[in-house]
Amino acid sequence: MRQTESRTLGVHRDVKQRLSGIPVKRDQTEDTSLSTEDTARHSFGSEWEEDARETLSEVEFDTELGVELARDAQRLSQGKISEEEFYSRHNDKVGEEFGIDARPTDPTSAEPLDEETVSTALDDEVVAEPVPKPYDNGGAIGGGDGGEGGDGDGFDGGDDDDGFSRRSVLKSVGVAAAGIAAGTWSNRNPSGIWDDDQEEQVAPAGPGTKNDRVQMGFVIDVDACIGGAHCAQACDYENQTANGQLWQFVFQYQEKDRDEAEFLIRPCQHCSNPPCVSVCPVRARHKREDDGIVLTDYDICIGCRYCQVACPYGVNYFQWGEPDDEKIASFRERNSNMPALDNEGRPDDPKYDKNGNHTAGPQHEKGIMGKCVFCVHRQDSGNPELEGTTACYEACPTDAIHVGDLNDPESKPRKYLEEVQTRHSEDGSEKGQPEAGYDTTSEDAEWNEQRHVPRWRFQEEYGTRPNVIYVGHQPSADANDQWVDKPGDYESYGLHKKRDGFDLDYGHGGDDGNESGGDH
Amino acid sequence: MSLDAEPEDLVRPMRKPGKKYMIVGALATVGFLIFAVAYGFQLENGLAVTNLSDWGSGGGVTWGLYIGSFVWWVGIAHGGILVSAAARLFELEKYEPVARIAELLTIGALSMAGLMIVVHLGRPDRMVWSTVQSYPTTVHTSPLAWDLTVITLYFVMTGTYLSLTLRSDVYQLRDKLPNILSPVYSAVLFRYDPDEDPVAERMAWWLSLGIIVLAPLLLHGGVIPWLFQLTPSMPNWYGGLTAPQFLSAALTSAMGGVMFVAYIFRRVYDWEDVLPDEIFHGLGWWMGLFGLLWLWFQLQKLITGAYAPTRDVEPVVNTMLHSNVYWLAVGLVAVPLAYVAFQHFGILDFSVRGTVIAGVGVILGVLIDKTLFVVEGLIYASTRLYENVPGAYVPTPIEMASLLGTVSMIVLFFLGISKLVPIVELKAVKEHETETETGGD
Ligand code: SF4
Ligand code: SF4
Repeated sequence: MRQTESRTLGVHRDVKQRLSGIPVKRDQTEDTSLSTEDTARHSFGSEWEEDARETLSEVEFDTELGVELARDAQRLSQGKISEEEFYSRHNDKVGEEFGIDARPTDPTSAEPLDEETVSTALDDEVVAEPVPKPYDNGGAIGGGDGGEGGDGDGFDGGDDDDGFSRRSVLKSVGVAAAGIAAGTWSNRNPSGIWDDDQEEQVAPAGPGTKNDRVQMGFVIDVDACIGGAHCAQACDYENQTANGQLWQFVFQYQEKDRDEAEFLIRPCQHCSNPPCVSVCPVRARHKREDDGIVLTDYDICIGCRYCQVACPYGVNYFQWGEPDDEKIASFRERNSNMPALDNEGRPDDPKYDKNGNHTAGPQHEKGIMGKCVFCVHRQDSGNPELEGTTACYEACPTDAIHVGDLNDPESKPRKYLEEVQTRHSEDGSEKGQPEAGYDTTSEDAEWNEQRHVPRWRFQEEYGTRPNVIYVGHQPSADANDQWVDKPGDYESYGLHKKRDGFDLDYGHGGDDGNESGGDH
Repeated sequence: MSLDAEPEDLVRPMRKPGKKYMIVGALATVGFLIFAVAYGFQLENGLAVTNLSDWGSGGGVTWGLYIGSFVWWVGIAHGGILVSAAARLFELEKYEPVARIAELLTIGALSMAGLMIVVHLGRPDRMVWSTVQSYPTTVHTSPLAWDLTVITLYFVMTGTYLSLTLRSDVYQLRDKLPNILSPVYSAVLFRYDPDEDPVAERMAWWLSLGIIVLAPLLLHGGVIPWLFQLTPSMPNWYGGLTAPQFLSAALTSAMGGVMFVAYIFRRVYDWEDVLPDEIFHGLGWWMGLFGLLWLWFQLQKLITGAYAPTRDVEPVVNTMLHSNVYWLAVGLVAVPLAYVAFQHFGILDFSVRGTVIAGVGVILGVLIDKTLFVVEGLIYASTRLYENVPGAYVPTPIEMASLLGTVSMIVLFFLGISKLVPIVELKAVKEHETETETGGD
């Protein structure tokens, strides 16, 4: 049993200040002004309506309702009708026609929601117009931008109160309507936006329209990492996970031709094409529409562990035995006064996210799966100081971790990328050359040479479209976890690499340190 | 060779249980109880009582013996029904006497496969509700949902198939069957009319056709291996060779399974005339053939992984090449193969008992191979950064107990069902009464 007392966030902040002399960062209150930009690209002429009817008659939903909704949504986004008016016109009918559920429904149809996520964000050098902030619960974002072929979480109803159910319902409709408006029904495409052809199919997006969807993610500068595992420690404390559940993890490895230790910080990548979501037989694992965070509904998961098997990153951790009640209570207590819990219609318990799904905090009972939740309780806290932050980000003494909406050029991670780029192209520093062992044939390598900063994503060859962008040394194919020196030793930080065993010790499963084993 | 069996012989197992019956029954009951206690213990304390662990930084494997035995049971199951369907479809009369045993084995083994999944789950209590309510969505994407679909489909097909042939048998043997079970037989014969026989016969034929066509496509030729082979980050699993490998393993072990059950009945009830040598000879031959295919696929995998492997494949194949457990599995298939081949070519004398023992070897070999396949897939995941994380997997006694439990349950199932219905089709004996078998392959 570890001593939680000594490892409060306060301690982290102290450590951090000591180590770096930087004051602990706290987010500025984000500008929450509404973005009501009219992004409509299609007029609703009779030709459109005919097309729409034809398409709608092929799907299982009510044709009239779909057409009407789409038309009114367009009016709404053009400011011709008010939100209230829109909702009052359609709420009941929609309720009848669609179930209420915020998780992705049929992945073959709802997938468009993450079709246009972050991943290309960085390739848009200039995105002139402001895009909505991750925590912008405010206004209706311009109605289902047609050009995006199904990029339709358009009618993002504002208020949080009874908003979430309505919002999710409307999203389903938004997807349908926007897909039709664009005349393309974006299908699940594993290669997605990494695929050039696919890019071309998408109608050229004007400024501010392309990345309207929020995709939370990380930019992690691995060269800045000193391997102190403060992030892992902070995560462990923040989420009160069981022993062995290292939702945040730091690899320490050594390259053959380099002396110093290298580090790789490994959270869940909150993929845009997450295999863990596809394989889940019960839809417990889902990608949240609101901000692209990948979550597990603890109340639905049956513990088949298929998500764990399918994820190439090894970020999933099962609750093997009974969880520690104290830890669960501690998580609940520390988060019990988030402002958003007072919102009407939201369960009064921080273990629920704003959609009412039980996804936050540690697994509350044995037999279910967990992993990094992007500190979803912070994102949904209603506290501007916490929204848009994670525990690991806050704890890192060297500012290696940057979190935010990767689709937003003004977000911290995007700004950081810009900053390193400028820094390095100015001084032509050590990052100017491709690193040893670096795959110089990859697209990223070209990008590096042009821009003088190694930037890569982890194992993107599996088509997962990960939403962690790494800056700095990329591990070569020879790299493996070496544990070359003590700072990276988890035990010394009170962290455990092994899950807790059971009293009836079979000589395994216990906390047996770092000796190497396996039937190699 | 003509058979001397009488319809009378077929109901012999349904008489008062003998001593051997009671002993086997007692042993199987003990096996089942051990499982029940072990599983209760697991429910109480969670999967922490297994040696499964998180792959990745936890250095363990998250799927192990439970999934290995799931695959193994499905393999046995789907081969069983193939024997029966092939006997009907291709009029392989020689195998008719084992057709029902094979069908029953399919039903039993499929149930055990399902049970292994339940045992494997962290939250079995939620299984039905969680799965059903999301099924319309997950069936598009989740191989586990496909598995569920296909196994249910097979269960229904086999059940229907079995009941079609059973009704007429029960009707004809009605006066010879134990009175005490009358209500059961009345239920089986609900609205039975002897005129329905030709229709039932035709339906059974079509079902056989469906089974023959679907089995290789859906079960071990498809859906079950897809559970693994569609995972690009697990080099031991990924790739098109997985499915043929699974199918050949399934078929060879299924032949072994059918032989084993048939042999037990033959021994206990002196059924040398009902289940003659030539059945075992034939099944042994098929077992060898499928075993040969399996070995050939293994060879392909080893050669590909040893000659110029990619970085992620190399450690797996390297381990396989140096693993005694792997070679044990290969040996357990290869030696029986050589044995039946020698018999076939007359180098060794044919022995029913020897062939059955060879079959048991194959069954064990496939079980070991399947478990190893699952475990090595997870130990040698592509993310080599995890390579130095400590970890190994040896199933705990709790996990072993579930395997013992499923085997015991199959035994109990056969003990029970053999008291209830004739486990050899009446038709098989009747035909043998009048016809002369040409025999041989
Ligand atoms: S990193 Fe793994 S668990 Fe996280 S979203 Fe991607 S596939 Fe799922
Ligand atoms: S362990 Fe839970 S979340 Fe993961 S695939 Fe199975 S049911 Fe889904």
